[in-house]
Amino acid sequence: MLETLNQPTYLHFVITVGAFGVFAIGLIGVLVKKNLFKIFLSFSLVESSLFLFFIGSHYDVGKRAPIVADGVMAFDHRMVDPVPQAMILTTIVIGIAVLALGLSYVVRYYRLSGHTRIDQMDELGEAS
Amino acid sequence: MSLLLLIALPLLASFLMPFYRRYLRPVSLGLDLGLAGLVYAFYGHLPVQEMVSFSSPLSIVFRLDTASYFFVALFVGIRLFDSLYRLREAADPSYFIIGNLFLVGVLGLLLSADIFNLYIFFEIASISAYIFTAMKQDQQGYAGAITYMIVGSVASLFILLSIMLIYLHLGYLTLSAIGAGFHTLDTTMQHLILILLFVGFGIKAEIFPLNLWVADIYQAAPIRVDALFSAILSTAYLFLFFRLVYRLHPDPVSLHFLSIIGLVSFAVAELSALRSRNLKRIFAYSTLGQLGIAFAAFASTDPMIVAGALFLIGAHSLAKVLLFLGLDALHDAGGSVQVGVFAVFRSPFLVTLFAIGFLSILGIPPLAGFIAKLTILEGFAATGHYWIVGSILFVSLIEATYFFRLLSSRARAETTGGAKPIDIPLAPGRMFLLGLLASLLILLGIFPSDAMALCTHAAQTFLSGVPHV
Repeated sequence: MLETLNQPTYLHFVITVGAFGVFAIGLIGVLVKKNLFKIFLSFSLVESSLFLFFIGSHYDVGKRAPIVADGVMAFDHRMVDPVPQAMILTTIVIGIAVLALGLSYVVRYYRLSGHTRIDQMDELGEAS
Repeated sequence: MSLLLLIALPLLASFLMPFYRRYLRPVSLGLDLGLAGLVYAFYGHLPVQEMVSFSSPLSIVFRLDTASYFFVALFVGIRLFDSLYRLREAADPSYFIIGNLFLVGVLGLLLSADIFNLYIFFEIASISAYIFTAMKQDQQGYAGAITYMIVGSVASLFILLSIMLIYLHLGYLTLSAIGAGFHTLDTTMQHLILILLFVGFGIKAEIFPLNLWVADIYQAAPIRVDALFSAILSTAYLFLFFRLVYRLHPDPVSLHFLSIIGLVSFAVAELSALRSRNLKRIFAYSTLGQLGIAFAAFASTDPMIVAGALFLIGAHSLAKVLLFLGLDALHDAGGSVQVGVFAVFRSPFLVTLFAIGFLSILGIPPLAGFIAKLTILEGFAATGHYWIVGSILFVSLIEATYFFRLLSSRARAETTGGAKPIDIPLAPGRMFLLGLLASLLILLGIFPSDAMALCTHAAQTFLSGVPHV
């Protein structure tokens, strides 16, 4: 059973289905939830699903993480493709920064307005 | 002399700010003068390409050609103007840091030659724009920033997914390689990637119907930030959108579709401005309208029309900085940002500036906007697109209606006596700078040849490799 799962076709299929599941949960959260905290966390889930999908799609069984350190001088064919790893590491950092900023603004908004609901945000628009 | 300096200098200046906090104003001005000098030094040496290589295959490629140079020069010029305008104010460290990050993001968008680094600079520009939006630190500012972040996150996810699909199927990220290999993908994947890119960058380039959030953000942000959004950020995303479109060699039907979207953007924005009573929202809709014309013009892929669109972008940026700074002076003097304030302030100088800004945007001679619109209309007429000429002229009448309504409300108030007038105290230095900007709009309208030559050259570079449709 585990041998079968280790085959690239199955492995990539399982990762894609898993990533799609997380994506769907996040998307439902973004579309349905009215609480700003939950909306931002749902965005984070959607983003994580994309990371999982991309890294999983570039994973090959038996290959090592592409880390150039401890005597390893360059990337080689025994490592997985380093570009997706570098991309996702960067994107994770950006995602955390945006999430932190978003949540801090929600806290500040709550202190001034007394609520965190997107459907009660009426500060903007022609009538305001 | 390295392209990296354009990115590194503002970044370093931000990080080192605690060490020279007491000398922030001269350092800020020195930085902007240095950047302007650097941009000037690149003139005549274009195109420039640089690669920052880490361990192969990880690298970052920057490229400055005449098209991106046009925008870099415009944005650095506006930034220098902003620094000079703030010279007599108390130094604001947070504005300095966020302003530098904003500039880094925008310049990175213009210089990056690979799609993932575009995404990184896209996020840097977006994050600094979110912080700018909340800068007033009031309830409206936070509501605007949260709205902007939600919309921006949607755009970001679409772009990220498209980049992942591109790398997954093509195996590279540089724009030129993507352009060359895109047609080897199967049609379904091509369409999926194009839709993701269109929605992602379309939200940021403020294209109808993905731009319904824009007026709210302008309303929430401080007025001076609105000037930067209108003159720099929206324009940079528009350039980026078409840089990608041109690289992917779209078919004539897609380009025709984009032209129609640009014209619909123009019409919807001007109609929205007509019914609005808030000056910040009116100027925001006006920006969307002008970008709509530029969008339709870029989609034509005709060098003359694209040159006209670049001229329009330059003229529009200058006019919008003038209008927003004029509105800021009104607001600082205790006026509101509702249309009514236009009838009660007392400053013939400011009235003249507003009139020059409005008339240039409308395309009235002898102002810069006239030359831009004339070139675009002549180009469309020469290529037989008379319906586009008719549409632009017709919608411009709507635009004229609300601009002249503002000016006439003032004339009416002067005749009837109206409400208590508001005096607008403007420092001589600021009057000089605003006057300089207004003079530039007039001079570009009377002597457009040098600027138009640069725009034509930029348009040819921008369109290089794109088949004329």
